[in-house]
Amino acid sequence: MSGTRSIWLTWLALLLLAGLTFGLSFLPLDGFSAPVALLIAIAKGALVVLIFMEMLGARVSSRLALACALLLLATLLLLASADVLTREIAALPPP
Amino acid sequence: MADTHLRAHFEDLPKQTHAARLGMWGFLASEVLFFGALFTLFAAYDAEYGAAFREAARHTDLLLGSLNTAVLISASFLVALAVAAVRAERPSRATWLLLAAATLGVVFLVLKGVEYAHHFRDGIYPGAYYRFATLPGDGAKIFFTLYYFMTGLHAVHVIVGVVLLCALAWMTYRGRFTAEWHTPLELGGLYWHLVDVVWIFLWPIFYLLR
Repeated sequence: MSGTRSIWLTWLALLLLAGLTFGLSFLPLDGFSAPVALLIAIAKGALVVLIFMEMLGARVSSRLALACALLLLATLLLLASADVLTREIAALPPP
Repeated sequence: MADTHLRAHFEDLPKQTHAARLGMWGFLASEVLFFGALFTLFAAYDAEYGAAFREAARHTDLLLGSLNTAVLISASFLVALAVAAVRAERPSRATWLLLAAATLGVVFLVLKGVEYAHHFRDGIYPGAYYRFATLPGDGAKIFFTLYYFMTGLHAVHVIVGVVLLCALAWMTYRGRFTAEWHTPLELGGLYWHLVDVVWIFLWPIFYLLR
């Protein structure tokens, strides 16, 4: 049963990655702790979507639905960040 | 036998299954944006109140939150195994796997309830009711309001998922699914996995960024 093998391996990988995130949260990574934790979260999310949710073998139509959601989410995050992160600059006095 | 599940407006079962999957992914895409808007709100406030958010994150229960991550990952794993079991024509195994996954969902909710109870005892309430003396600032108040809203909304999804898993376990037990047709099980599983994915992102922002 090659199908269940990939499921077991994914479960182990998810638990290992969760353990890794947990361990890293105790290290003083300064500014890098948030990006590292989020990158590992993205890797875990990708594993669940690709293997558990079978996106790997999915049809183009289903992939398109997910791609639309991710694209809109990226747009939302990008534009919201562009607003919030540039407020300080706009508030500088003129030279 | 399989044809009893075929609706009149579909040519054959595979086409009907693909349509059902697309419908489910459309719904899941809307869920991604639903939670995505809240994550964006969190990120925007984090840019403003970063230091206060780090401080507040030290007051969530790291141990219970992390335990819940393992619980939900495992519940997702059991549902994936259940779908594989139905495809291998082993419905009784699938029934137990689904019931085990639903039980883990209940365990998650109980642990979350314990966490909420600890917060309430400390005076950590959402919004205007916030009265945690250790962290009196606006940042912590916003952090915990978002914490309650986002984990609460997620918990509602877990409750729906547990009910769904119980119904699917019952249908599996009654022999409703075959290797050829098990669309409700597959779609219910997709929903449960999405609930898992959302928690995978809630965990670092509320518990680990300290």
